[in-house]
Amino acid sequence: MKFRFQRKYLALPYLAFLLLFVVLPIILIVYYAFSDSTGRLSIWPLQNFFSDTDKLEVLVISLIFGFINTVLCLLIGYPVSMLLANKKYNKNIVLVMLFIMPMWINFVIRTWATRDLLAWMNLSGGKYPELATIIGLVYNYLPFAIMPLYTTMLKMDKSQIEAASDLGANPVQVFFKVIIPMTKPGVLSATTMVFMPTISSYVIADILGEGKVTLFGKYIELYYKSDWNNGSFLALIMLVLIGVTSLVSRKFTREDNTQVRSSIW
Amino acid sequence: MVKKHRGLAQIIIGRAFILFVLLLMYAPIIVLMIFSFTESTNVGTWEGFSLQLYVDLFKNKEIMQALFNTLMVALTSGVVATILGTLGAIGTFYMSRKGKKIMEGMTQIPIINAEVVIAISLAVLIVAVGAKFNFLTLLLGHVVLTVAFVYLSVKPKLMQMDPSIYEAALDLGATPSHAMRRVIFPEILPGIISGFMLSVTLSLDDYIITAFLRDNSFETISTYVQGVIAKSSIPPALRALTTVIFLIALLVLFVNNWKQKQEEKMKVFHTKGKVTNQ
Amino acid sequence: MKKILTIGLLALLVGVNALPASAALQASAAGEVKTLRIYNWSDYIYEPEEEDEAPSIIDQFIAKKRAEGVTVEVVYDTYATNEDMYNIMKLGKASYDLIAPSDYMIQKMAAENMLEEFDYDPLTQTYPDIPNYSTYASPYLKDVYDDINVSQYAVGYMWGTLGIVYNPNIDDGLGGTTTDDQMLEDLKSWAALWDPKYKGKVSIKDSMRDTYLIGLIHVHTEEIENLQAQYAAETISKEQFKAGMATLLNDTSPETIEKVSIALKELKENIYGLEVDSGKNDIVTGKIMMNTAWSGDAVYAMDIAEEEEGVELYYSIPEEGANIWFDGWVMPKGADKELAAEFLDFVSNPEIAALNMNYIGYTSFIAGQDILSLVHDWYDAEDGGVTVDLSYFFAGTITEDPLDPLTSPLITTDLIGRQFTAQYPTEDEITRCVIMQNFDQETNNQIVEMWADFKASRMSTWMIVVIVVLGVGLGALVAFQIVRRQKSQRHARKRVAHK
Repeated sequence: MKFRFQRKYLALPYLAFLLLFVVLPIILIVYYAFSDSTGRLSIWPLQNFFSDTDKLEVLVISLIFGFINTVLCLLIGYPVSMLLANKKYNKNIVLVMLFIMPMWINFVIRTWATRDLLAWMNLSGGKYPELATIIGLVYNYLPFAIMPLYTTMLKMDKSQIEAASDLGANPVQVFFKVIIPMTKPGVLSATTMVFMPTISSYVIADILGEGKVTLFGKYIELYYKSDWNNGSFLALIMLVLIGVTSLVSRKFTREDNTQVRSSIW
Repeated sequence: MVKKHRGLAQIIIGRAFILFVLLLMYAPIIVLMIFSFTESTNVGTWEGFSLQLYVDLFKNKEIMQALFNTLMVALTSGVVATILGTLGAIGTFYMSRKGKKIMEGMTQIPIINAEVVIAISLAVLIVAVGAKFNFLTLLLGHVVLTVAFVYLSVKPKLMQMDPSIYEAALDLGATPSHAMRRVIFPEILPGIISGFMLSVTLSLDDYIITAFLRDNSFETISTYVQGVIAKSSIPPALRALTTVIFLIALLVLFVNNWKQKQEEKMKVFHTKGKVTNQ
Repeated sequence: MKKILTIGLLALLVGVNALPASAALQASAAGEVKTLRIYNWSDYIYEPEEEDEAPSIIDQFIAKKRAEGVTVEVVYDTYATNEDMYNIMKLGKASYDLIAPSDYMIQKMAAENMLEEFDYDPLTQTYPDIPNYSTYASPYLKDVYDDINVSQYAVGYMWGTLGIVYNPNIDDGLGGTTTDDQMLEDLKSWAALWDPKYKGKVSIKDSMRDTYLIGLIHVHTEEIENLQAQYAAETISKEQFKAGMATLLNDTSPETIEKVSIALKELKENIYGLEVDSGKNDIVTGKIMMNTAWSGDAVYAMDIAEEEEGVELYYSIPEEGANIWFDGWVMPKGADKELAAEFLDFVSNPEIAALNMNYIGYTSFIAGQDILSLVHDWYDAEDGGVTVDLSYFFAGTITEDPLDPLTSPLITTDLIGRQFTAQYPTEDEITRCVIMQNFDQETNNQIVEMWADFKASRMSTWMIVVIVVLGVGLGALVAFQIVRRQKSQRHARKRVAHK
């Protein structure tokens, strides 16, 4: 029988790539996470993680930072995106791109510049390490929130809004009962794009917190320099955590969304 | 009458808010740009207007090399990721439901995974097979980072596409590969392009993966800055670099905008008579 | 059209990538091409900053070899900490001919068999392949090197101390500044770092070993004072004193680690932050008033502060003692020993060493008349000043008349307590400094745990507030959903009932 080239075979290189360089490394990490320095299987890193409260504390703190950063980015990003998507306030795409352009300038440079600026405003990491870190995080991740929100709001069905106000709803009701549900996929997308990188990033916290704010990502790096087993276990924890968050957010979408969440925006 | 006034006030407040946030976002960048026109070591001390930093920038071999490296990695990994991701998206689109689920699941991993974990897991793999760290390993890391994003950029275009046009093309006598190239490809092209742009953008800014997977001599702008932060809060020449990048980005923006305006004019011209809702 | 563009771009990228390879091929075809791979600290070798300055040391070496008919390519990479360098080498991520680690790291690498040996004669303390070093390196320093048994593995490059650079200038109320004498007094002790008077104005190193040492000094202050009293009263010899200090300041017993942990956490409350490199600029820009610094960084900060801000910074080697460190050139296994030795000989030439010192700000291992002239150049005071005897360093390498004030090892300078102390501490100051020793894996892991613990962020009240708010919010949301579902179910049931 002649070999029929089916279109789905086009995905083979991609599949091979993913298996080799995404799945396999994770298996290796799992191996290291459950072995000790001699290579034998052991649950020592597991015990170490739960017996040493520092690691848990740092993890919880990272989650809190992630949460706060996400909330702030949404609080600022949502109205900005609404205004940008509304023809009344913004006629062309230039303004939107301006919000995204800082991403072109290397974030390491931007973060060190922010450090100087904060010091000049007397908000330096020396005095307020956590505040400085949060400011830096919001500054860096705001575009990540604006992008999906803006895209979703562009596609909003304006006629539903008009219909709602025609039916007698006041602006507040319109906002909460019509606009917010319609932008849910955007909000979810924005949350994902901000929350997950935040809990795993550490460079910004390190620079702006003057070395005093140590997030989980930094911990992983710290341990990796000398102790692969503990480091791998921490990495695994991070992976599991992120996986769980992603599953939970996916459940949310499926529950009340008929639209297939088919894009990243 | 009152409504009109309220409308105007709303517009002003709205615009002001946007500009305010924008200003906050650009504050550090503006500071850098202002101080790119003076020669002092530290930001904050003004030593008189001078373009010396721009001269230094272009004469600085290390920065130029790092810049070149950064672009090289971004573009190369962008191309590779785009090819892999696009083919992957197309192939998966024609898979069974179960196949799709598996592919999508694996695709999600590098997106949601922490960069640190991706970097370390790849480093572990490379050490385990006894390979050396070089440009290829760095390229690998960047492709892993970005390929899933390309996939997710192309996929919605595939879903928005009318599935019957492929069949129609075959019915009209086209060979499968012809149909693929001439019919499907143009439909998903916007997704491919945005995937490529996304991949390049992510690559340009990357620090963690680069730091872990590079050959030690290979500097990108991120690693260069982190490594050289010794001499000054920000190496003075990099202030000039910030301004240059900003101006280039602004230029690209305006060119793009102007092109779009031209296209829109053409559209209106071509659909004379039809009322297009823009 | 777009396809052609893509293919063209790809071809260009491949081509560009292949270029360096082809260049290397051409070079090797032309004549003998050797590659020297060097891995050094960042900012640790002379490079010209202006057009009219001498070419870089690397370039000068390449030129010298070219004159001999040998084409040498130099690959020069840099690292920020010993541990980073060690990890790279251990992972086999790169191969080099010369690396310049610090004392304890040299010990570690030697113990783990990672280094080649130099041709070294311990009796005469000479390296036959490196005549310049054998002749001009300070015999005093060579002795110290012998103490830690690494002479056959390492050739000295730079050395210095870890002390405190600080800004004692305060407003004198008349529009100018004057030095705060109290601060000058306070900074004679490491305790100043913990002093709440300076809260928020202190920066320490984000480096495990260095900060651990400071913790040790703080914890062992009493024992140190006892030892010093004994030494001053001459009830113990210099060797016994140094041995006692070395033991105290390399102490890694679990009880001590615990005490250091507590002391460091106290310190953390008092600091502005931890840094690796930004400290020397932060003190110039005024973000901080004192910074634990390596002597070379201190010199840099002092120079810049004077030039750009007109501010005089000071450097202190506290009375309890400090750390004296050495960076030495080693050859990892597989290095090109011949080429490496040639480079080291070139770099150990006093003229070149002087050029290096001038640029880096650290102090070279190399002594000799050229270096001495340089020191006179820099530090001779026009009038007044204090006289320091540097013969401990230069003895055995000076050729000119030691009695002539222009060439003698006696320097009269007014930069004591400032740049001069950073570059050439007195013999007494050196005696109370301790070299860091290598810790074994077990011990090191314990200190890593302590360090991770120290670095960890702590929950503060506002975080707990956030958690509570979040918990309440989530709980309310869930309750809300449940109530809503029950309501709609009730409605549905009602509707069915009505039907």
